Amino acid sequence: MRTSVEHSDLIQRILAGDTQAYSALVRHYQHMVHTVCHRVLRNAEDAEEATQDSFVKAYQHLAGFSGNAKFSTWLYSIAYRTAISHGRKRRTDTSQLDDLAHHPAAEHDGASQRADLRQVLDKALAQLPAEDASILSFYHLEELSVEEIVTVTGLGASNVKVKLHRARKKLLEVLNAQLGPEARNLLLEHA
Amino acid sequence: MPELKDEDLNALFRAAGHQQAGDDLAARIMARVAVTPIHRPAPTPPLIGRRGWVLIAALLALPLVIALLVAPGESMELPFLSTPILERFSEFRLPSGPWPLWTVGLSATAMLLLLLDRYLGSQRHQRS
Repeated sequence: MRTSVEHSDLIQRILAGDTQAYSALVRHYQHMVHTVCHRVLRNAEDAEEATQDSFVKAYQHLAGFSGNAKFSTWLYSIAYRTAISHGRKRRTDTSQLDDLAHHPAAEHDGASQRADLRQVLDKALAQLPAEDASILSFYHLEELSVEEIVTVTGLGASNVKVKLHRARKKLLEVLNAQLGPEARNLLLEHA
Repeated sequence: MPELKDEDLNALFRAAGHQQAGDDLAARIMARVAVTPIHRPAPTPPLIGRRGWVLIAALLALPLVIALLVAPGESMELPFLSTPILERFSEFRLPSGPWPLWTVGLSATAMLLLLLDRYLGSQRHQRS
């Protein structure tokens, strides 16, 4: 992943008025930001809206990006807070979460063996609080350090470590309970 | 029966990858960005500038220096105060009491305020 140092030229161009230069950053980070928003909101439509808002906010405040942190960490921080804000406004529809939790692919039948890894993981993460799911995603997918997760979420370092430990344990419990042995074998092969 | 373990999670998350946003998401974002201005934070100067603080420090340090050089209750007869204008002050008598301590306290307070002012100024700049 490119660092903020490598983005600095692009950022300077954007600040100088080259709006189209921002599209390179959008293309590079859109899926990552969308994933962050999806982990919090658990709804594709809301996540896309929060993703748009996050990029617009980041663009508006680009002049305030000091370069002390990585650009990605700064952007995740905006995305996470924007998604939290969207979640508060909309009050996540619980029926959508239930729908995810009881998807047929999570059951012990042949279909789960062919389940898409992402779908399986999403369904397992849906069993966790949104904050814990986000922290797991930051740590295991985005490979952020605990210090970076502290910056993004605004939580204390010890709190992040405890949540990470508990969420990891819970996720493994959910995955091991939801998936049959064959599905787990398949998952391990793919992973 | 194989069970997923801690070490499998990294590989699992990476294999699952990111959520895939819609194909036109980038275009929709850029359409909004095109009509959005960049906020350019105006630099906010400190409440009291560098010269102001130097003046305050000088005004506070001057009586402190005098207090150190002249004992309380004695007339101020300093060899370097010999110009006609300053001779007017030759009969000036310093009041007795713990006022040098007050001066030291005021200086220390002014120093703390200066540091606080600079700190708040830098925080405001970072946030904006």
